[in-house]
Order: sequence, then structure tokens, then C-alpha cells
Amino acid sequence: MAGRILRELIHTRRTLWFWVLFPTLMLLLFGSVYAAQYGGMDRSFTRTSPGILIGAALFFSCLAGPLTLIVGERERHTIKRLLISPLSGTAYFLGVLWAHIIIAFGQAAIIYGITLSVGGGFRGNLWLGAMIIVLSVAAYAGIGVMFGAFFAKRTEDATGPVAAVGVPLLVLGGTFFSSDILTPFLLRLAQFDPIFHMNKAMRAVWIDGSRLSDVSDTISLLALMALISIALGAISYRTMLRTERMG
Amino acid sequence: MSAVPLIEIDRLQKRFGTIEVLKGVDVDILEGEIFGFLGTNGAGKSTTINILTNQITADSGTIKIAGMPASTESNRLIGLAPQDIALYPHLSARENLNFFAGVYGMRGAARHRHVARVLDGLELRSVSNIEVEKLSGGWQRRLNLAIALVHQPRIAILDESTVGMDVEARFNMWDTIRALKSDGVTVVLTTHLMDEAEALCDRIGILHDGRIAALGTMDELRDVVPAVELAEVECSDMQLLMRHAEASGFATRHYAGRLTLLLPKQLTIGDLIERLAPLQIQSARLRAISLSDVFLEITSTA
Repeated sequence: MAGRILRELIHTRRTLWFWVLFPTLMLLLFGSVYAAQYGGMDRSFTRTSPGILIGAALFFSCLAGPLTLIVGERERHTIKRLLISPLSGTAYFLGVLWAHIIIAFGQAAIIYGITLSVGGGFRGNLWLGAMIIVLSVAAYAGIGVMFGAFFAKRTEDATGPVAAVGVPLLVLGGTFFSSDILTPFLLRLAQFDPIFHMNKAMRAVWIDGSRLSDVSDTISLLALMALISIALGAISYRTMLRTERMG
Repeated sequence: MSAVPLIEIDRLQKRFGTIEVLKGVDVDILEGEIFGFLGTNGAGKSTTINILTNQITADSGTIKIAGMPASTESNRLIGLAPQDIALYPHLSARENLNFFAGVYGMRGAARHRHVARVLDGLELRSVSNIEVEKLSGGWQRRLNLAIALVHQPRIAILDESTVGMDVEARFNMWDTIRALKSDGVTVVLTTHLMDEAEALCDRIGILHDGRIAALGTMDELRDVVPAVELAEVECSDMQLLMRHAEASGFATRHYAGRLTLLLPKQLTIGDLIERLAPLQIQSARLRAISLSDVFLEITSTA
């Protein structure tokens, strides 16, 4: 499943280009905007990268990607073949997850490649950061599958939920600026935004060099969100199959 | 073709809301035969296929496939070529086949062998590395069937498999379907094309109003039409022709918009014209009973 998803993306190329272009431009833009405030391009890019990776990059690839994938199965009628195949909902979802984890690490390599090229980098534990990326991908992918299964019948329907729900969550989650500037009310509201916790964990680990024991609460919360999201994704996929079967 | 039923459908009933789609479908499909499912839109063909492939459950009645109830397990015996082309357009033909072979648990050399087998069997090798979206409709249809066969099913369900094909591609597809039968695959064909069913099917079941209204070989089905032969006659006054024909003991039908006389015994054109002599006959043609006539006889009178 993962191989098929990646092959399709490589053949079409366009989607992959956008998934590279968008976070790259956002990183260059926000890295430059905050350069004076943070005291240099290196420090600015280092501080901006985690938010851009989690918000700008993974949000669009790992949430919108599974969403359009599900809609695509329906539009291309391949869902009819999958319906009678031995492929389980869990296997399907794990394939989607695995493909998007690979994409996410590709995006991380590009973002941190740019950051390193201007003298920035990351400070904390590489593997802990990688774990946060995997948990974030899982959370996004589950929600993406759920949206695809329930709310988007056609490809053009997919952009609506992503823009209407996703972009405010990105902003509230502190993707493009530090959540320090949020009012107390917005900060309380942000606690319900999964992206806020993803950004918080990533910044703590790769900017401040926090260890697992320092961020265990946030990581636990992320793990819980990922589990809920995976469960929602698998249930949504099964529900969609039932709905499709009824014609 | 053996006389052993591979698919046993017994008193199958299904209701959607207030609409009773299947009212007791009974049919056995024999191992190794090409069985045609015909019916008007809404007759219950798709519902029957969906129950057969365990996509929906029947309200009552049973289906057995190789002795098993319709289930995930029995689905492994079935290859479904859906009416809509169901392919990944950005993957090549080979990549599509590889993916679906993998879905059925094939790995490594076994997968390679099965993919090569269908590529050769359906003469797809020359286009195997071309992205599906760049293939013509005929090739896509062929690949649509190939994917249904990649896991070597015992039963191939072909739902309107030749829709949209040009004549040559359609005849090629017929050859492929016949080759499947030669390989021992049981083929269940749903089609609206009467010539296709007539040319390919060993037996045909006509679904009408939620039931199998007629079932048998083409020769057996011809008995549904109460005639030995049919005559298509044109006359300057068709109403008069109809009245005269009926008064002369011929039953009449409107098959495919043409007034058709049902001849109870073999007649020559001369005999026919003699009987209709008082009329201004413009043309008269005797012809054999076709599947279309059988179908219209059932769907208009059942």
C-alpha cells in the first residue's frame, strides 16, 4: 500500500513539488522576517523550523494527503476492488501511515537542510524529534482519513475542510509565530488544538534541547492523540466501506 | 463445463427500505460455464452480485460459493471486473497488477509470475509499462479484467465488461472471455448487449422484477417466445396489418419498435405473403428468434 502511494506521487510529481515548495517558501519567509528579532538568520531559522515542519509541511502532506487519497479511491472506483479484497481497514491505514511517515522525513530533511545551510540546526535528541514527527503524522493521517471518509465525496470537496478547519488550527497552534503572543483566552483554547501540542513538543526538543523526561507529559498527550486519531481513521475507513457497499 | 454447481443461489431476498429488489432469486451456476445475467436496470443484477461478493447481506435465502457461504474467504475465489474502470491512473499497467497481486497476499517470485501470466494472457505486455491514463479505453478495459484475474480466481464476475469498446476491441475481449472458460474459470457475465450474451454464454438467466424469469441455454430460452420463427413485415397501413395478422391467427409483438408476427410453424416467405395478400405488403422478412426477442417477451409480459 505504502509503495503504491509513493509510486503514484513520484509519477505525478506535482503534489510532491507543492509539498516541498510550500514549507520551503514559508521557512524562507518567516526565517527572514524573524531574523532581526532573534538576532541573526541562523537563530531565526533554527527557531522557525519546528513550526514550519509540523504545521506547514506535515499538515498539508499528512492530513490533506490521506484525505485526497481516500477521495481518490472513491472517484477512481478502486474502492470497489478493495471492498472485496482481503485487505483490512487496519492494513490500509497502516500503509497510508507508513507512506506519509516517509514523506514527512523527506520534508524534515529538506527543511533542516535549508536551516543548516544558513548556519542553523537543531539542538536536542534526533530520535526524540523523530518520534514527535511520527506521532504528528499519525494524528494528522487519522484525521485526514476521517475527513476523506465522511466529508469529502469529490476531490474539490477536500480543499474546503482543510482550509476552513485546518488553517485556523495552524495559526492557533503557533505554527507561524510563538504562542507567547496569544491572549490567555486563546492560549486556553489552544490547549484543545493538537497542532499546538505538536509544535510545543517539537520546539522544546529541537530548539531548547529538552529530554524525554522534560516533555513526557506532552509526548504522552501526543501519543494519546495519535491513538485516538488512528482509531478514528480505522473506524472511518470501515464505515466508509459499509456505506460504499450499500451503494 | 461440469454439472457441478459452483455457485448456489437459493431463494435470495433483499429489500432496500420499501423497495423489494430481490423477491426470491434461485439459480445454480455450474463450474466452468459462462453464465449470463441479463435484466433491465433495477432488475436486481447488481444487488445479486453484491450479495455474491459479500458486500451486502441478503434478508433471507442463501448463497454458497464452492460450498461456502459468501464471506471474505469465498471472495478469494472471486475476481470482479467492475463496470466502471477501477484503476490507478498514474501507475503503469504492471504497477497496478503488482499492487492488486500484493493485496491478495502475493509476494516476490509468485507475484512476478502471476503478473507475467495475466500480462501475457490478456496480451498486455506491450503496454505494461505505460501509465494507465495514457492508455486507450480498450486497453484500460482489458487491464480492468486483468486485475480481476491476477490472483487466479475460480470465478470471474464481469460487470458490463465491454461497455464503451469499439467492435474490434469487443471481439478481442470475447476471445479473452472464451479463453478464461478454456482455462476452467467460471465466468459470470452481466451485460445489456444481447449479441454478446448470445455469442458467449452457455446459459443465461434473465432477472425481471426481482426473480429469475427465465433460465437456460439459448435454445431453451427460445421456447419463451411462442413461435417457431418471426416475421418482420412492413405495410403502408400498419394498423390494418396488425388487425389482419391477428385475425389470420398470428400473434403480434412490437420487438425493438418493429411490428413482428409470431409464426407458430415454419413458413416460407411465399406462404406469408399469400396469407397477407389483401394488404399492400412493402417488405417481409423471416428471421430466427434472438435473445433480444426472448428478453423483450419476458420483460414486457412477465
